[in-house]
Amino acid sequence: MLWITSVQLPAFGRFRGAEFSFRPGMNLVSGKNEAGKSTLLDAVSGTIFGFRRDKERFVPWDGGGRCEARVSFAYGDREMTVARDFLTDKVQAVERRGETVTWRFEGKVSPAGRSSEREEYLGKIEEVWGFAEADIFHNSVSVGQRDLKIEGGGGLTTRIKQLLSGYTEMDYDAVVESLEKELYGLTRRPGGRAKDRELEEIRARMAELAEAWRTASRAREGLARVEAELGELRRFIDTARADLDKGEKYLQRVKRHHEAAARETALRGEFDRVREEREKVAALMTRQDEIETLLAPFADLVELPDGFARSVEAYCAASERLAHLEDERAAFDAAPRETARPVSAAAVFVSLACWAVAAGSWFAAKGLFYGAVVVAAVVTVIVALRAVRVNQARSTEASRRQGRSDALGSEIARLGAEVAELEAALERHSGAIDPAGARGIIADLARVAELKAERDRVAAALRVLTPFENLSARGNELARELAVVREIMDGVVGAGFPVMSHEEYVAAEEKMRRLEGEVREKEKSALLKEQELVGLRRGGLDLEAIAEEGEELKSREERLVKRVGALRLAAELLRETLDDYRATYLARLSMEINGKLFNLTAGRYREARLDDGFNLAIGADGVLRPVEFYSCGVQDQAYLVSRLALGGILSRGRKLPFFLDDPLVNFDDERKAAALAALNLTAAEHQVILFVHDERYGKLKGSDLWNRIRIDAKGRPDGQLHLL
Amino acid sequence: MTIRILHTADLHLGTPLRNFGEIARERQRDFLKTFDRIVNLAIKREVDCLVVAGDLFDATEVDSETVGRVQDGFGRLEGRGIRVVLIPGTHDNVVPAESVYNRHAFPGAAILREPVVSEPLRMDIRGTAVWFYGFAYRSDRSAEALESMRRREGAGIHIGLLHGSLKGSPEWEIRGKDIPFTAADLVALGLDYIALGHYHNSACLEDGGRIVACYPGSPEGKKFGENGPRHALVVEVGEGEVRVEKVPVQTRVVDELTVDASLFPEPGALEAELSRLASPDLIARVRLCGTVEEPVDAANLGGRLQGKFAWLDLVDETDLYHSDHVRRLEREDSIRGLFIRKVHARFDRAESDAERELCREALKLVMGRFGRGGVI
Repeated sequence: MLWITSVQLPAFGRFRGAEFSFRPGMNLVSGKNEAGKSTLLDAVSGTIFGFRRDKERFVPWDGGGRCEARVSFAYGDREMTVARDFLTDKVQAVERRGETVTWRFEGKVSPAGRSSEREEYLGKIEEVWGFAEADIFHNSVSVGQRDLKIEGGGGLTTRIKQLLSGYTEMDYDAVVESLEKELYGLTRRPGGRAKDRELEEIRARMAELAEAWRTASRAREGLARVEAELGELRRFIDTARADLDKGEKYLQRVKRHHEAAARETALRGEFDRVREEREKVAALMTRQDEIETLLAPFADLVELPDGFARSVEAYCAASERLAHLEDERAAFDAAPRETARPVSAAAVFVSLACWAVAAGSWFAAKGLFYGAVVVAAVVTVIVALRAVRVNQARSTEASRRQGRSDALGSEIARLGAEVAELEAALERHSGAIDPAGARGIIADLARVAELKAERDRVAAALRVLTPFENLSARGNELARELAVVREIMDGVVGAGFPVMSHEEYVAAEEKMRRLEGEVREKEKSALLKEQELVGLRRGGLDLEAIAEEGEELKSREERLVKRVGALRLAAELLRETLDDYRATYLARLSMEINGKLFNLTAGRYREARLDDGFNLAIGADGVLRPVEFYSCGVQDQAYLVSRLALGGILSRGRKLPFFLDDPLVNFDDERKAAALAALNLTAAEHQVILFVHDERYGKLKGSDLWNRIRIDAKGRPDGQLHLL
Repeated sequence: MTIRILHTADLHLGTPLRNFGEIARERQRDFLKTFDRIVNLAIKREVDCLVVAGDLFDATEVDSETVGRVQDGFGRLEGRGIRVVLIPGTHDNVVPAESVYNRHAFPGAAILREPVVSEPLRMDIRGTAVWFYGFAYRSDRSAEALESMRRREGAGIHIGLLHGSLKGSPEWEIRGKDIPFTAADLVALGLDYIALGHYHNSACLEDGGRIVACYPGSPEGKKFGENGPRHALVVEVGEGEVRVEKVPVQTRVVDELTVDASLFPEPGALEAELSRLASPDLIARVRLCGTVEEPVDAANLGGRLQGKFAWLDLVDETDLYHSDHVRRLEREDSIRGLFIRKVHARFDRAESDAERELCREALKLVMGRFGRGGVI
């Protein structure tokens, strides 16, 4: 058995220089509320195990900067005294066997600190107490003021779970629940249909980002490709446009050249025409001058009236006719008269001969007679007719000759008059004239008329034709124009410039149109590419931003995955722990409770069993009922038993002191009596230190056997009774 | 002839800073304050030019207010005759149509936004020709882009701006490897100074004792890891000579601390120690380590200390598993004793560190709950 022998409090809480002695068995520490009972209990656990938190509350207000306590406890043949300076957590511990110091320790023992000396101390405490944790102390051997206020509804079970957990205020169910709650907040349960949690949301966002990354990457690749294509197109278009421009200019030059050439041809044609016309006009004018020169000797004739030539002609004709007629009359007169020839003697002989033949035939050849008579008759007729006709002709001829002679005479007279008249008229213009001179005048007049006619023709032609001066001016103008056109041609074409033919020009123009069409097509393609680029460039290209968010999410995901993994593992291991704990410790704890229950209830209850849910059932004679079915007193007893049993287990079988801090304060007398009875029984095996505020405990039956300690209002021991 | 430039990068204005939880908004304001501080520093130190080597903004799309603050800052510099040269970085790249540089004008700032350097930007500063080489980040053009920074003919000072990743840097393994280069690559460019950006910790690269290029680091810690004071660099650059001065510019310090909780076993001692480390301008991630006898209630402790820091992320990495307390409890015939034995058994069977870590965490979870009355 281990029991507390003394507690010295030089400066601890409200205690200044207080000292309390205890003994095995039942110890009753009484004092009014706030006298320091709980502080004394805290001093015991705090000195031995240290405070993990809130140690400041024990620093005395007027302690002069000290906070110390000393606790001695005995076990077997040894006693250990532990002194702790709570401000520095310096601990001095001495273990003695009688007067022999068997172990001594001095060092800093902070509950949260780490040092080998601390481990030495705690190792020793564990060896003596079975544990070195204040939690276990509180869960096993220390019963606080509220510990026994377990009211129905599974309260005891909860408390047992807390105690089993090893922590004072936490049962494993709450821990499992808390783990699961956090887990649930982070991720869906596997296969669960609940909405997405943080992890799923992050993963969904990561998937979105991955897709965005792919899209953006594709867009960037597309961008590079389209830009390359566009660059190619633009280069083509630029080159083609330049070519077109050049070609256009070239063709323009060729066209201007061609136009100039056409103009030159036209001008040259016009020039030639003008030149010809001018030459013609010049020739006419020369001819005109020549005519004038030719006409100059005939100036008189020229001035003659228009009918003068005809008058001269008439005069000449009349004179010539007159002469002719006079010659004819002279000849007529001189010519013998023509008479008709008389019938020849031959003819008359022939006719007589015919008749002689007819008469001879009569005689000689009567057969021919008739034929010869007919022939003689015909020939005689013909000769007779002929003689008649000659006679007639001789008469006609004589008449005709007379008529003719008359006609000639009258005609000669008429002509003589006419010639005289004409001659008189001619003499008025050209002096004396004779027919021979007149004939010369006629020739001259014909020449003059001819020249005048020609002159008129020339003049008429000149009138019709452009004046020479105009033609000259026009010619000069055309020559100038031609020169300009030639200059243009030279200027357009330039030296050494190959001039394409019209056919070549047409072919080149066609080629240009084709190229232009191609360029337009390429421009359309470029426009489409540009639109495509605009599309590709529209948002979603911030790979850096995506990558950064992705990195961030990845690290968050990693953290969460780790957290989730840890939570799952924690929950899994904790559940496993509980299963194993049940399997390993439940029966043992039940047995411990069982044994102690019999003692504590003076044999009234002898059986106890903890089920898998750590629900305690107690009873007798094989009838077990959940502890909640029993009265509060019985429940208290059961709880005390559980605490003792747990203490036994947690201290690995050591019989440790049992500290109760006024646990019966709210109990009625009956319940209180039952509890005290139980405690009395417990005190046989364990030191029991019961802190109470009610001094009537000291007057209870049997209490005179207890070690009774009173604490006064100033926190000092108020005398002790040592009855044993 | 030397010129003086203020070199900064990676300001990440407008960053959402999700990792800073409830003070994210406040941190965003910190970033803007830091920007203003950089502008003021440029004015105070009478620099010729402010050079921003990428990631002035945290994203391609930026809210108007932030843009306005930057426009105001650049306007103030312009008013003082201080030129601003900047390149878009990986975060504020000009690829999307909505990019801040496509949507907003920044008068007073020359933005080198071509994907490669066709011709360097020439500025005449106090009678000296200064050539700026820089290009806007494009993931598909980096190799040729870097090559395009090679020094061109021309008298004067040649300065490069490059937002890229230095191979072999401590950040190489943990950050993006956009526009990778080596120190030798930079030396080969033949420039007088290269203002680097992208990596968030300050570092200078030297070649035969001559500074070739520097990372100024982020001027305000964007996340844990960008710890301690943050800087902008005042750089004196001449032809072939460089002097660098680091000037702290941060509004608040981000830091990661480790506290051995086992050294403060007394109740309140750990809290006192953490309070001692606290500062209203400190954004701290404090890792508690060491073997403790009692589970640390990090959530409670963090809550109590939060007000003393600008922001505190308290990470409990203490080891309870190996504590004497647990070892003693293990011998108990209580549920907790049995539980600890089970954890131990599981720990011993564990095949990986991760499993062992889980065991330790599970133990802490349960012990913490038992100790705290089930409170998480």
